[in-house]
Amino acid sequence: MYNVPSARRKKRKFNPLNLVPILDVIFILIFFLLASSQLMRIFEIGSDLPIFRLSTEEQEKPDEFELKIEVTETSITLSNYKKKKIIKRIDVDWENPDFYAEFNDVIKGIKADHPDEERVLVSSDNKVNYQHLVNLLDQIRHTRHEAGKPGRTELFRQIMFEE
Amino acid sequence: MSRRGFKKFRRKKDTPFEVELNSLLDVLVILLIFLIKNYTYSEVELSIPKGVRIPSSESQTIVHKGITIQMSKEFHIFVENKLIVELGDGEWSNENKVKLRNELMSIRDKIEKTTFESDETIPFSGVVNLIMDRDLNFEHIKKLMDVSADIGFEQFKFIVIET
Repeated sequence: MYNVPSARRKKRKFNPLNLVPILDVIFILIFFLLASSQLMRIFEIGSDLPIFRLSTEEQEKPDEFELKIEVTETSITLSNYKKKKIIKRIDVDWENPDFYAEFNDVIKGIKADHPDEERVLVSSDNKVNYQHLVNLLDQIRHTRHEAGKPGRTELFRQIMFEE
Repeated sequence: MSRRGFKKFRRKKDTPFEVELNSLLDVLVILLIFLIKNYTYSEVELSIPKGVRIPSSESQTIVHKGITIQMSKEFHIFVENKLIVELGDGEWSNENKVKLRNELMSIRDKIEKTTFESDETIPFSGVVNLIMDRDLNFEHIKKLMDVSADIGFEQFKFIVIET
């Protein structure tokens, strides 16, 4: 006997999304990233030719300004190497963050006066600690991170060490 | 046993066991985002000798290809991971300088020979990656730079770790 179809809708079966292929891809990506990335983030600070190795052509610059930074264990002296004129002398306090802030402000001021200048000559005392020197190089190369301001501005990117 | 009694002990229909993948996927996606965010590509793989703590810096410059010179706090000098010189008391004798110079010279010859044989047009770059302990003094950096520059390695990169 013929049955009249019911008006009731058949319950549609819910097909869940197949996550297995996505999971496979993510697993492979994670393994690739773990294998190829460095656990320690290692970078470099470049230093160009020392001044005594520079060719005469490079040394002869029309500009009358060349920043020289003399570092000792107790003080830092910033001067115009070309004119042998001292710009500023700062007493050193290696462990104090304010000291680095002050030093960075001085560098920023010099860069503002000489925006085209990118080279700086660093002369360091033999006893200056390497980590302290690297901290100084950071201040010479870039402005400090400031809250609310994105990124850092490049200051003197070409660092040379005097013999 | 009555029909009712059989019904009581009838086995339930087995439903296939399904692993809940959504939460696993969430974790993996978070892990993936974290890894991608911290991923740094570098063409160079540097090895830091045991016990050497390299200085921390704000630098974000990716490490470039070059030979590596490593120096530990105990004044052991390695070139390309090979121990070359041990400065017992941190004093640079002429003999030690000659040892280092000879090693650098043989590396330079090898690089030039390889370049010549492979007909590459890329000239000798003279890049030295300096991996040095943060507690060392500038005196040692200067000595290493001096010896390397004599052999033609004149571009110095201070290898640092992210602050």
